[in-house]
Amino acid sequence: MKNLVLIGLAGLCLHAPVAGQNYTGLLNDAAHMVSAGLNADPGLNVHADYFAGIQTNRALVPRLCLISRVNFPIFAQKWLNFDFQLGVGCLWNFDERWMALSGLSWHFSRTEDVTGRYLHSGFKLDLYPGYRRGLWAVFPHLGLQYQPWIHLKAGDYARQAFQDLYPDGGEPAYGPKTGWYYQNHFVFQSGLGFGYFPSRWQVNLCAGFQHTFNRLGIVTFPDVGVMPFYGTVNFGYVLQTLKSD
Amino acid sequence: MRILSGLRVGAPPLLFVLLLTTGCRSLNDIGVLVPPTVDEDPNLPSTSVEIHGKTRKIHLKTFGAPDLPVLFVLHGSYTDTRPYANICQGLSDRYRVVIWDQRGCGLSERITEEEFTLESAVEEIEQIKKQFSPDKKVTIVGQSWGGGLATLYTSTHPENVEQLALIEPMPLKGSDMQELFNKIVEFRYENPSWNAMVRHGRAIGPGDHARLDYRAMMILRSTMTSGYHCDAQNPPAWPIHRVGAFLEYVRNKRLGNPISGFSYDFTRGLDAFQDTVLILGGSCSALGYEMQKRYSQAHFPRARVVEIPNAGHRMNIEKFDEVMANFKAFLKQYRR
Repeated sequence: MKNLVLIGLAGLCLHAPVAGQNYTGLLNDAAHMVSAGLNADPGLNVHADYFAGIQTNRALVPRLCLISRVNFPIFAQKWLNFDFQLGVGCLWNFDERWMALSGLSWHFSRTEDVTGRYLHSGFKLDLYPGYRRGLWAVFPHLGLQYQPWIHLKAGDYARQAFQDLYPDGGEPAYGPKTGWYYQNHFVFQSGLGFGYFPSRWQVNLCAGFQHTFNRLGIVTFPDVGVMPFYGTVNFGYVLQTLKSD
Repeated sequence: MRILSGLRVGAPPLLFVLLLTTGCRSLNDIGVLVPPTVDEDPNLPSTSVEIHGKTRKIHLKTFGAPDLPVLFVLHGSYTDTRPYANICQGLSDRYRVVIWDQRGCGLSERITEEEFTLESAVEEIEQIKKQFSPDKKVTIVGQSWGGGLATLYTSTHPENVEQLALIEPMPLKGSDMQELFNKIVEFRYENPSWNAMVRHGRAIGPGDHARLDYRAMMILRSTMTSGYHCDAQNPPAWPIHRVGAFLEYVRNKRLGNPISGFSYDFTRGLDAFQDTVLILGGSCSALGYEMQKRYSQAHFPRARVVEIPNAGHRMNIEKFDEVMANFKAFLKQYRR
């Protein structure tokens, strides 16, 4: 049973929202780490993370972690919009220098705009196969987010689109109704990350391309904010290392 | 035993996920986010057009008696016919006004990327003309993109056009658009409206037409178009049924962009249209009086540019009486 749980956690591995999460505490031997930074998806956000590391004493998967993050959009913050994430991650050591970080996270978010208010939730899988040498590491990033659940409370603006539909003035049978809905909302990311760990402090960057799956073949549509880039910069401080436990 | 204990651990979360999902409707269901189109709801008034061998249903309305001369109203981009109802009603005493959601827009059937070209947009007008005024010329009123399209139609079929009245037409040549783009479109990274649209994408993915349409209608309430309005932070209301976002995406591709350049030209052949064209321009808009006077007027053999004071791009909502007064002073049916 323990093996199943371990394999499950390892399979789930690290986490992050669309913006990318701070799993790099695994490379810093962190038992407790706090971090904060900026991320662009491509709208600019500010985030704060807490990281808790666990030693496993296994050669292939020496460390696991739990991560939480709160994320706030900066320029779109007319209403209280946020993302809250929880996740698990692990470090895979293939040899002294080749390693991988992986993680799975769950997020719960609130978004409000002129069309309505949304509560939405889903999962993200991240993989950072990489190379570590001394105080730095470089890691390509692959991420896949799936967000199936959304609670919709449409605003007046969205409802108005359903008025005056029929010549006889009949009541429309359609329109957004408050409640839970599901959707297939996939975002795929591929990028490159870099981490530097001089002491208890660390900095990590990750940037790349993201694609929101759609049936329409649209990769970029700047008018409505569909752009194929993401990036994050994160500064962390290790409160306590595993070695000092 | 291991399998059984694995099932015991895995079943509760799996059941939880299934319960959450099975109790929900899909955002893809018709009419959840945006109104159904005419192919999805047969109760909506429609006609069909065949463009290059492909038949599509069009949401179309007429105003006025069938025996009156026909006047077409062509709507702009990121909109549909709904905000022009006042013009249609206002002119229906002397004209049979025909207005339709252009293919891919509003309540008209959605189309594929291949189906939209500038040529097919002209062909669409020609098809509607064959249905409503096969033997007589039509008068055309067009706003913004609709003004550009009306100009393109007139340059292609000058023999079919009785009169042309334009409300702040878009730049009629790609070279004009290249010069004016930065004044027309406010594209700043920190623009709150644009960031709100990005944020909206976290909640609702642009996975299909309806979800993209739903997001695109945010533009009409945004400050990204502040250059069009007198009060940049509070654009006038502009009620729509549906923004045809995919059509806007395709149209942008057809017209070009400021980096690779805008190569279109709506003015070739305009020399054959010798009647005077009326162009209305607001005093506030980036596409207003000054722009029309400087750029658009010279493309027509004869054009008169009139300024509507204290009006922006949505002048038919803001200054309806002034707009109608100018139309009635210009249109032949009111001068007889």
